Amino acid sequence: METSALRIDHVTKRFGGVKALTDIQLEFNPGEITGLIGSNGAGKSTLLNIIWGVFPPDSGRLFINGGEVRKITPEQAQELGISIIFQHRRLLPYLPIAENIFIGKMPRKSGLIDYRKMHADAAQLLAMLELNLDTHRLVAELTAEEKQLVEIVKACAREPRILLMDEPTTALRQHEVQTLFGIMRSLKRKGCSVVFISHRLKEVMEICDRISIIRDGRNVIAGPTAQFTADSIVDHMSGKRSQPARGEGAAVHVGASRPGSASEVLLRVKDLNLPKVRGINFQLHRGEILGFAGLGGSGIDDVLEYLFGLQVAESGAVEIDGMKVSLKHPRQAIRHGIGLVPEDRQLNGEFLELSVQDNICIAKGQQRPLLSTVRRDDEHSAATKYVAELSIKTDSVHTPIKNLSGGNQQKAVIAKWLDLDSRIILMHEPTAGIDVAAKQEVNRLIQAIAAAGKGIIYTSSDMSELMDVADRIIVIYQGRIFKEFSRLEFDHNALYLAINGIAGPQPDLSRG
Amino acid sequence: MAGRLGGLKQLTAGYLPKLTLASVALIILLANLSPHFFTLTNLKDILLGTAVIGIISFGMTMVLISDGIDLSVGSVVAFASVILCVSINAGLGLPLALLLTLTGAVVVGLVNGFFIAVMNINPFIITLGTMSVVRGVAYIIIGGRPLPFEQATVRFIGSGSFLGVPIPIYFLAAVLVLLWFLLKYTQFGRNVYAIGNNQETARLSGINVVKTRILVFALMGLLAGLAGFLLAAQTYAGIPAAGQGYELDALTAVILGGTSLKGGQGRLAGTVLGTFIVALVLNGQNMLGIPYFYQLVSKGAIILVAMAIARKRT
Repeated sequence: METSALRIDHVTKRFGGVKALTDIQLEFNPGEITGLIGSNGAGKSTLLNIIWGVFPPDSGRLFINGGEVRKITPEQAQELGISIIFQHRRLLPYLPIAENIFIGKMPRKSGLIDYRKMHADAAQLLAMLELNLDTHRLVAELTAEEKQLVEIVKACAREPRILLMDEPTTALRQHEVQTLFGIMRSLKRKGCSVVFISHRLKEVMEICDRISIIRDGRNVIAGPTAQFTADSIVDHMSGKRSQPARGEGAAVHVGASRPGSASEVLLRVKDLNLPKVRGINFQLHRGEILGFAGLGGSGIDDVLEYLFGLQVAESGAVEIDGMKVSLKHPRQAIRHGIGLVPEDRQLNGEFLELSVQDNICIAKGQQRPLLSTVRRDDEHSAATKYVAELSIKTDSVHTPIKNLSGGNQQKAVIAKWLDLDSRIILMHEPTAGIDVAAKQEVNRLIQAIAAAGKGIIYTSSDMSELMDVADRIIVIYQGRIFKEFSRLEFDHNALYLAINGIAGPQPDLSRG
Repeated sequence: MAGRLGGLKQLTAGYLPKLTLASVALIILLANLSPHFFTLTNLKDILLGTAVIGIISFGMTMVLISDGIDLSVGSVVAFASVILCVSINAGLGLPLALLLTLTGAVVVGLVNGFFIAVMNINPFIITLGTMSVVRGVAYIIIGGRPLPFEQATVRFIGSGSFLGVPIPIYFLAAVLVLLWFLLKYTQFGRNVYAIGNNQETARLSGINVVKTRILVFALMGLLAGLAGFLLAAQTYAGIPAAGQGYELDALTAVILGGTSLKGGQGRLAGTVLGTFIVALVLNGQNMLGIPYFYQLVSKGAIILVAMAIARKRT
């Protein structure tokens, strides 16, 4: 039997009480491209971190080229021929392309760095990817796609025997994906074992020889690609056969009984074109939670940014309550009654050192002149009210917000827009990075806010959660609306296929 | 007993109480070292010496809280004294001369604000640039030497007293009260803290970040101009070389007072104490006959120590 390039043998990993990986067994062969597939939270990142030696497994063993490795460090992993392309880029922005590619292993001549050879080699590698870039340029000057490609070149420059790629195509355009596939095939011919982690089923089916699917940190199935269809992959990922995942943890759902949810249109977006978005049309009703689903880079971020005045439209129109509005900057969006709960709460959503009260009340205060005095008493009672109503757990409204737990911080961020009485709240991954119990609480809160007559746009990369919370889901694929699901049509697997641009089986409406 | 000790501990738990204790200890030390320390004249001198630099330090506190820095303040002091001198020598009345002086200073602040807030360029570099530009303009206007002027009201403001307290101290107190009110009680003040804490969140919360930051630098310019007016009033001259190193002196007091260089945090009360301590250290050295060169060393050392303390606190 051929020795596998990388074998993960009965690996288990716990974080506190939570099992991230349970008895995982995976084998990646030389000269093969393997697709590693699983939903969010299936354990893919944990696996990568174990292989890269970021933390050790609790039990189980790791074999590289047939030999067992213990206590691996990132440096050793590299020496053993492993390269990983992580989702979050690790390039140094203010170094030239060539130095980024060869960092840690720059070619030398009599002890000194041989810059000429380094740039020549870098240029050759870039040419392989059909990239026409000056190797002296700084990484900071590159576009997102170019950075991603440089990252790939960097990984390839190490002539890896095992190359693991975590969602490498998210930032790439169609033809760049094809170039990347070319590189992957040539690595494969050289005997490299390539692991392709992706949510993009079409790409997985196209490039991979084998597919391994994991779910909830356990093995589900592995086999040659020919054995799978997009439908069957999604079935294995979700562990369900195309049945609505509705009701899962959503004991209370008020969607159907919301006042006027089907009638009054609050927000209407017409023929919206952004640099990465084409012909978007949709309506948001009062009391409705409209879910947006899509893969990274699908264009959801762009639509939300546009609605909050952070991106300029090429063409298109927005109406709020039937009035055409212009959204050129956040203050304008806020004046029209739009609020944003941003994806990265700490970076864009809160003032960590300021009190809960200031965090909640600061937006409303902007309606008054700059030199007017702050109405501390009003603000104190407003903040106290929201702390009670949203059950924000804090010692007092004067506590710095950084002392609160993630879920409670997020509630305070949401309270900011309630205080301002925003009519439309854009919730961009509002439950990202908070624990499971708090997630449910935040989602209940969002449903209650909608029930009170607000319009909510909601995104989540977790399809089950999205179906729990939303009344309707619009799927965006490659910058266009691909499909719309009404609540009756919600189906985990169909949704997952749709974000991949696959129409999928028609859900059985009689079941609803 | 333990309870009382615990109470004392609690009382001195914060940074400001510790700073107060430090200044009291410094006073006791100086009083023991020199018999002249506890004389009315000397205490008046100390206060008077802090008037000009104190006004700048208070403004600098606001600038640092907004996550900015203004290195041009010393040059603006010189620029203002020069404008005042030239205007009065040209026969303008005091109100008009004062207006020109403060307008000139505010214009420098607006230029700083434009580059920093509108063009979004690092305040350190921008104000380093205007520091040189403004100093140069002051020299161009008046030449290399100080130019004296004579104006009765200005002379009174510079060296007169009211109820036994030198007039510049009233200016210092007025600026303190004004800034304290602005920072603590107005929307502007809270925005300054918010912007210093997280500029992007501030923008996404609807704060007019550009306008607020321009206002911060314009106000800093105004205060530096006022400080320059007072300095000219004390010296009866327009001095193009005045105010050199004031940016460092002000920063020393502000940082010693516990204001964070990272923005978003800081209190005027700390700066008051910081200014006072720096003044005590310098005054003490004067009385003990320590040469100026050593005073330079000690001023710098205070900054280093203050930064080390700040680092430990966070």
